[in-house]
Amino acid sequence: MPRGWVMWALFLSSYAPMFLLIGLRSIGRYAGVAVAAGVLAILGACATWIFLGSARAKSGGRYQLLEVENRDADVAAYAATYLLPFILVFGGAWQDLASLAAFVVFLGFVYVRSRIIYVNPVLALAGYRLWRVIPITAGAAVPVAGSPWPRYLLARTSHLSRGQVITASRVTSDLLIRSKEEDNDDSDGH
Amino acid sequence: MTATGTELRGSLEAAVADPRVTTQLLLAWRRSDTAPFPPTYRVELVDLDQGVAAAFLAFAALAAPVVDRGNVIPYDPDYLLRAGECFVLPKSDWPGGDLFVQLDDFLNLARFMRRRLTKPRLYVLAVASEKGTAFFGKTMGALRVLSQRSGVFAAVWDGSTFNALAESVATFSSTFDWVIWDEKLYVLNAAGFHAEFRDIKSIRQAVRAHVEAITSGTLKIINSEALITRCQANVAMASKLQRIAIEGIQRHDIDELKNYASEYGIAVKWDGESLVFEDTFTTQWSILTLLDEDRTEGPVSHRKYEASSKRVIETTA
Repeated sequence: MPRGWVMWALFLSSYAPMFLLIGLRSIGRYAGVAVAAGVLAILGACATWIFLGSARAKSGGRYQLLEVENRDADVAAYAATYLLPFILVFGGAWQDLASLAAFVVFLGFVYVRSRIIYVNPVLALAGYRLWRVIPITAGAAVPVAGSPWPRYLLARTSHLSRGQVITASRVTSDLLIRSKEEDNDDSDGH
Repeated sequence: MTATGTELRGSLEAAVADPRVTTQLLLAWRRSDTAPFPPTYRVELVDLDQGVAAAFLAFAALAAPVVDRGNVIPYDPDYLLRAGECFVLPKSDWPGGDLFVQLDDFLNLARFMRRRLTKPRLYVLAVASEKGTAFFGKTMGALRVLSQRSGVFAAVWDGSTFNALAESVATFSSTFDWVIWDEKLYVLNAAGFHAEFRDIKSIRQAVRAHVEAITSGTLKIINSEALITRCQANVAMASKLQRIAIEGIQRHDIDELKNYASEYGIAVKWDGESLVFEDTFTTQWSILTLLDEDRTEGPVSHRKYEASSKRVIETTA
């Protein structure tokens, strides 16, 4: 199970652009919402920075990828929630504010309790792509039965292949992030 | 008896010095301390900060030269290795129950998550590079886990004030008991290695059978119950007894044994054709010294030596 603070950091990070849009739409209409959305957007940006810094600070391991599948398309699932700022009608009534807050909290719980936690448009904007991989320790015998569980991998590359050996850190039990050095090597090479 | 140690050893030093090397820490607990040997282990992967990983890697770099260039001593569980010496065990001879099997895919082991750190049996450092993965192991018997609830009061110094320890803290050594590299297990610290992987319990349990085997021929031992009790209390004696039962000189003629003891000053007491075990600090080893033929003579200098650890060699004419 992923750590709580990582999940909430990813949630804030993931919805930082939506908070920003809500804030922009609220300017001149409802100051409280604009300020709250602005704070959440800043927190989201900070959370992204803290998440990446924390993940990169961990010692990595050398994994061999038995299976590789790109999951960038999952990011599109966010399009629906990003429409929220455009359908909001700000009347200033407490019911509007309460329902908006309840929606964000509900979204948060759904987010942290589901596998969509790793689908993060902000990380996508930063160049990270989401992969579903089955990794084993580089050099380990490939299991005949009971293959290892799949993990998600964040990597700034568009090229990963079966059998490839990568260096990655384990952020949570089922999320890896590829080392900065290898990501940089890829970006230099392309 | 010291080999040069040049056979089939990889360049571990180069692997550890690889700039892209990765370092991981594993903690291992025995599933049950009372289960029969060999034990089974629960091994967990610990998240390491890169700074801590670098510190561990520095320790591994210190151990690597011993493996690469150290003197290889033929494996003898009773021989205490000196600095720069090591035993080498091929994969077929590795002890450790399921521990080493689990190390194969160590990155897929469960993460160490528990808030309160209970004392592991051992820790293993996995150092991986393009050249392969080396494992550096250390028994945690002599190391400490300090926690709020432990018997000692632990405090941390922040530069100006002592603060009570809020979390459990493990202490680690800068040396290792054993290293695995290139499918070979190098034992660097025999005492630490055997403390974890040798079946001390069964060696103690076999003492009586070994004494009976030794005395099943012409040679008898008076006060053998005291010898059994003493050997059961002392693993080194029990281990030596085991070797004597297999390849000791107890089947030789009694007069031959008496002459040997007399000529080489082995302080055994005889009662007719029987040895008498004297349970004193100075004489408790005498019978074992005699039957393991510990005292010998150099063929050139004709000096007399005591060699408690030895192995049979084959010479060519």
